[in-house]
Amino acid sequence: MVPAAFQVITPPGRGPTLVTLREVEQILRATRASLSLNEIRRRMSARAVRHSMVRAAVNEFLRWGLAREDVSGVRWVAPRVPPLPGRSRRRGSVPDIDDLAGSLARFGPVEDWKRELDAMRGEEDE
Amino acid sequence: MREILDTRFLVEHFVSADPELLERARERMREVRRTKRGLLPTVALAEFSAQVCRHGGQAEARTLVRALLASGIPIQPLTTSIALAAGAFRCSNPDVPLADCIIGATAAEHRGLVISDDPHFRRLPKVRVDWI
Repeated sequence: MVPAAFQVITPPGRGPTLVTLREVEQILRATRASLSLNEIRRRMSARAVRHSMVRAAVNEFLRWGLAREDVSGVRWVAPRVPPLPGRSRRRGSVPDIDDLAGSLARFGPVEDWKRELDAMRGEEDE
Repeated sequence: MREILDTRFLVEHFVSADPELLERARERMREVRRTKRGLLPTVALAEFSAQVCRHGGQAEARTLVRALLASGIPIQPLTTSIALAAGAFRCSNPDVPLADCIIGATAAEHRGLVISDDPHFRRLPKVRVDWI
């Protein structure tokens, strides 16, 4: 029997899956501004996501202090969530391209890349 | 309708630092994956990996290519019919780079559209173009 002080009140029924939690986390982390629940839902990859699922996922982040909510919406506040031990170093693990969006910006402006690409293609011309 | 990913779209998706453009590119990529309409020509994969390798080294290029291959977007090899169509495009438009002709011919073969901001594609007949 878990003492009452340590019990966590969980909503009835099925909650969001780990995949949903990770996706909501990625959406919030990628955006510095606050997002409404509807906006989070719109950015999710699934065509139809129930509002209650997004709310349950957000509540979990609020509970852990990873996000904050005010009248303008929900905002990710935790600087970084450490990866699971050994997971990032596991051989064969491949990052998702959505997580890599904008990851090459550190190598220079996009305009330079496109100019280089034009030059590369121009080498085909006589 | 198939959506053919040009190298310039990959560049926008992975390199852009402009939050608005990055979000639009990201949204387009998500849509392409969700609808399973995307197609990545091998020539675009070659161009993009060459550029990533040049800027970030071989390890960075390997990571990006592995992520693209695992993304679920099918890779379209250069088939004989696409090669011949690309050759015809190049013959009638000698100032359009051959890589663009191949990507344009891929779109024509699949009756799809190219996702690119490259003005060259608009000069190729029967090739529809869209951007983020």
